[in-house]
Amino acid sequence: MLKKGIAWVYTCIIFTFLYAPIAVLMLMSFNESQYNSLPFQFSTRWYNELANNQTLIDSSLTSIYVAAITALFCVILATMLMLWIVQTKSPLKKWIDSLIILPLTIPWLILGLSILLLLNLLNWDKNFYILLVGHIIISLPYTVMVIKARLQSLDFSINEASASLGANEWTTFRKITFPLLFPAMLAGGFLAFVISFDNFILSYFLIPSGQSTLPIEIYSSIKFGFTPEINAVSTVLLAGTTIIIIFIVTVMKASLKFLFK
Amino acid sequence: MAYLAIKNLSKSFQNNLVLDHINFEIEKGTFLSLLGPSGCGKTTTLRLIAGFEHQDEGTIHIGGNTIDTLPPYKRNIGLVFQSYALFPHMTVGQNIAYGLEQRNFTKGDIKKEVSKALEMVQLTGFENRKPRQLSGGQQQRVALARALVIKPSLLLLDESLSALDKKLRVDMQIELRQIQKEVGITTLFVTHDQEEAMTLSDQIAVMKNGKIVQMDTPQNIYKNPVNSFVASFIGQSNFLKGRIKENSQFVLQNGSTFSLPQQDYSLYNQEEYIISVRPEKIRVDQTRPSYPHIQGKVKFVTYIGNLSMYLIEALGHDIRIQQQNDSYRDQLKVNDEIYFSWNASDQSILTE
Ligand SMILES: Nc1ncnc2c1ncn2[C@@H]1O[C@H](COP(=O)(O)OP(=O)(O)O)[C@@H](O)[C@H]1O
Ligand SMILES: [Mg+2]
Repeated sequence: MLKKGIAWVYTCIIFTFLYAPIAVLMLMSFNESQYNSLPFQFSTRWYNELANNQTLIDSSLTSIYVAAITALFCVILATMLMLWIVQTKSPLKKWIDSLIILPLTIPWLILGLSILLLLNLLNWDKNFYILLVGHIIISLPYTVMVIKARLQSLDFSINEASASLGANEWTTFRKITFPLLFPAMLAGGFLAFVISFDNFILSYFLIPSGQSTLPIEIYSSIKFGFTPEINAVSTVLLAGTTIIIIFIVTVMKASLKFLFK
Repeated sequence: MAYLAIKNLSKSFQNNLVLDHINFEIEKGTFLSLLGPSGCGKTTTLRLIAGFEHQDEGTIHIGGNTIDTLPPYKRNIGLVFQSYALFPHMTVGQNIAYGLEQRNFTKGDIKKEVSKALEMVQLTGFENRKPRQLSGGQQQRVALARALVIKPSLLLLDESLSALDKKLRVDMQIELRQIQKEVGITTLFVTHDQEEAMTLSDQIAVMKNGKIVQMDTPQNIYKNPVNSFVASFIGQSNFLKGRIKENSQFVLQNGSTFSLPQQDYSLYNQEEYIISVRPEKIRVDQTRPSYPHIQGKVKFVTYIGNLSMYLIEALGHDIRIQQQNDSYRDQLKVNDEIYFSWNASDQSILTE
């Protein structure tokens, strides 16, 4: 009984610690005060201002755009690579297996700096594609890990069963591998999206001048006079993410039903 | 040429010779078991026939056609895996229909064939269940139905019953054999369980280190094993190693001598032989008989209900004897002095 009580309190503390700051941020986005100060006075002023703040909207859209393309590329690349890896006997396998995960261990700061250095050496201008490449490099390991875990949990002999029943490689992929892999592809894509969306350092190094992403915008606004519009945009994004997560979980549940039921 | 013919099949993995020039042929409708210890190359043989691996040497023929250059999906071979390998995201019905869809059957025909297949494996009414909702034995039957519904030219089963518990396994053995006979399908069954191979097969091929050591009917293999490996792998046996001297005398390696049963031994002129005798073929007398015999002492008794196993100390060896516990015979007790012997027709004289 006592043990149960302690566990409960413990859980509460952890959850408070995790979510209280976010709750405060969301609350403050509805506070009239310019300086996030109390007493709390409800208002939608900052949302109105946000609607008129083109820089903030543009940078949010850029972030979403970059993250979406990154996620798409990561899913396609990771799926193709892992499908190849699980069945190949090539000696390259070991190398690719580790090289693809390696960016996890390289600090983003150093990665950003080195890409910048390379651009300098080649005498190239910073551009959008380079930014994308950077984001794909840092997000790919996460997608790979999710998809690889799923592939390894699948019984490889179902592919052979499919072949023995008369299905060629393409049919086997379409009817067996893809449906079973889809939830992992979705989860891996979402992870890549979040990693990319969240990234400040790499974007800061690689973004073409005159553009910015949301993290860059938030960072500079903290430096040069914070307004609660940032709270508002954060809340909007949190709400958006939550909706995406709910959507994904629902889709996954539907396509994963055969596993749970 | 026989219906299924394997000729000179060889396969190495990383310079490790796993299959060493295997040859065998079986007629249509035969149930052949590949029996051997783990790692002897049974699965590799099946995978070569199914087309998942490619041989280094040799050819595979079914019904007069050479199939070993075809990709797996063109071989029309039914496969049942040990792990069942059912498609987890499809229902039982969809699993069974899969092979028919690849063959462009119409919807109506598929429905008919699926329900026939389900009836054959006694799973009518299960077509909308997911594999996960079935027991091991039921999943096994779905896998069998899925493999048979395509009317394959050959059925391959790799340790397919090993994952089931003992009682279910025996039931499934009987069911598998019944279905196999009904359909008349030529079947290659891989197992390391000699009892299973004995129960199911028309023919058994005993394998060791990538070679087929002996291939014959279960009865013949049991009665006339070609060497001590086969004799000990299929059933139990007593092995006595030594020299055959004139007058039917046998001299064991430790120097003890006994008289072999009456038979012409003049052809056995090699240095060394192994006499193999099954435990249940040994006759026991409590008083000294007039025919050739060995004297021994009961060391250990194991009671198995209808049978008893005795461990006898004789000639410096441990001899196993198995006897029926019927009402005409007294059970032996530890330290009983006994005299035992066997018929010449029940012994195998082996060279290795
Ligand atoms: N794909 C492979 N790569 C390397 N070695 C293999 C491969 N498949 C099988 N072997 C080896 O070949 C030998 C025979 O394997 P297998 O045919 O699976 O034996 P069994 O089915 O009789 O237990 C084993 O020593 C195994 O390690
Ligand atoms: Mg095996």
